[in-house]
Amino acid sequence: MQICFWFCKAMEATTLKRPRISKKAHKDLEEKRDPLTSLPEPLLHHILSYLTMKDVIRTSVLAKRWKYLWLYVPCLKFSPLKMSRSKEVAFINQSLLLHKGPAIQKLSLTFLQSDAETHHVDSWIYFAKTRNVNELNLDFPPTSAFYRLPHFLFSSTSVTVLSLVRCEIHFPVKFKLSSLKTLSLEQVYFSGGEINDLTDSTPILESLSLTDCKGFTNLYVYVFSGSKITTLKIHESDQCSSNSVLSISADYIASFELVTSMSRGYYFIHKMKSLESASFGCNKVNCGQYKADKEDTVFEIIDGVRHAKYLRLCSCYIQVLCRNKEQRLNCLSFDATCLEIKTGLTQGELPGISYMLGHSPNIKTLIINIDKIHAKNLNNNSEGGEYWKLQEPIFVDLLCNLKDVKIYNFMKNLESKQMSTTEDFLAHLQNDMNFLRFLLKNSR
Amino acid sequence: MASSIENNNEKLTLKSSDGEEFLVEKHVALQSTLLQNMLDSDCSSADVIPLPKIDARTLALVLGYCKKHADASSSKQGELNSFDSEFLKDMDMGALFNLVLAANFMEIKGLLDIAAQKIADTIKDKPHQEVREIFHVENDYTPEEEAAVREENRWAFEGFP
Repeated sequence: MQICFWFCKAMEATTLKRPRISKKAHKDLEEKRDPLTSLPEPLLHHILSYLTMKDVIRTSVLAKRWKYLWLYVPCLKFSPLKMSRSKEVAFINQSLLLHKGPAIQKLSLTFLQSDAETHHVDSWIYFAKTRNVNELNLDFPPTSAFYRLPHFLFSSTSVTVLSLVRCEIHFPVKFKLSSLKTLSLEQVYFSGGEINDLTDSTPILESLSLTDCKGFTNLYVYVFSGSKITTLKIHESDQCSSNSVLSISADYIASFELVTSMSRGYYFIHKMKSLESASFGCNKVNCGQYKADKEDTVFEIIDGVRHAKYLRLCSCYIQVLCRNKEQRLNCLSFDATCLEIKTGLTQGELPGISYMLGHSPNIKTLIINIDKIHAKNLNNNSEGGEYWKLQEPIFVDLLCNLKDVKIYNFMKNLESKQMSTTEDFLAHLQNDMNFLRFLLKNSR
Repeated sequence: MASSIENNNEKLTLKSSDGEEFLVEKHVALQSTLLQNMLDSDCSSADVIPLPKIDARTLALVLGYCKKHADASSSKQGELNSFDSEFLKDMDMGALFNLVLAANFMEIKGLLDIAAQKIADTIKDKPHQEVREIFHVENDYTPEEEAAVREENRWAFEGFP
């Protein structure tokens, strides 16, 4: 078994056959002048794709080769400029007007100022569409009135990646995004239609990510069996109505992530038969605050992903597992080979961690992500060692597959707590060490 | 660590432009699309695959990158990310350009992306005079030509000397 602590970074030495160190290579380097300008054009375009248009255009004065290079870059990225809105609009207009590339791979527009001049944005998107844009990213500021996506975008046959932040979507009666594979919507306002209209009209969509989308009370996501969607991410940090419902029916996806504050009244997540990776979290800085009436929901959610190979849980879920486990959980068993837990290793979380370890017979990799946690049952920590000692008899031969244990932010919870005395600090350290000792002793 | 490679002991030999040979496990070599295509089309019947454009120092770096990425499974993305950010740190410009050319030639997308990103980060937000100095760009404009290009694109030079 291997334990690595991730607060120190170790670089692995490569074991390669190297009979002698060549000096010629070094000489070549020194002799090669102007390595940047002599790169082939596609490589220069690739490098420029990581820069915003202002930086890209400024390369035109470097040397003659650069004079027209920027006119053909396939990726156009406009980030907020430190200038007035009218100048910013003029800058984007000018850049697109002069652009000569036959196709645009990517257009990114990020705005900081809220003054919405929608007809300009429409024309930029139209320009990108006529150049068969593959990737379109739009990011509007929080204060603006929502920009409504033009209807002509919904007939694009070239867009494969669409990422929208704070836009308004109003679907045309009938539409089809025939090439779309990745769709990411953050704080997008649905003024006409809903998520399922999208999934119905995107025949080859593979990845769908929804973060705090607005315009509907209940969130229904149905991924029908013929769909190509393999990845589904849902993040909800806003307070939702306590009568509202989140319902997900996606039997055939491979990867599922749900981050929620559990403020809705009902959560229905249908069993995902082909699930390989499942990740559950809350979005609180200090997790561990799910209300007691959500315990059944949490049990149902975890029960539904028992067969996932990779399972990631935040402390909220672990703490729910601590409670009532005798009544409900005896029949649960997890197929996970990799288990990742966000925890503070506090007293109130230990039974939950113990439960997960004890019921994951195939576990090979355990990742402990230490963070500040609000555990509901914070007893004094000196009992921690006792706890793991008492657990030992139950764990005989249980952790025999465990090979890798990774602990991120070891000591973080020690730093964050206000340690009054050295004894206090040592007691906390002792608590964490007890867990390690237990792992080492009960695995091979 | 070694679990993923136990049943794949095939090795191949790569030869750098300056004649050094590197013995590489097949799953490591597969990180390169170029090598993958060669292996698929069975061009590898020759014992040694020559890489005439890549010197030994660069090839060693490239293979170090490939080994790390081949050995790590998909669940270790965080680990790979921290490896990537360390990998190019403190690398001199000459080595970086050799690396970007090698990654481009061998079609190793991940390596090409981080190396290109690193070069772009060096250009970012800097006045062009400074960019010229860092990369030893030979300015072949006359002062009048340079002023004219700058004037043409003046909207991009706001706030720069």
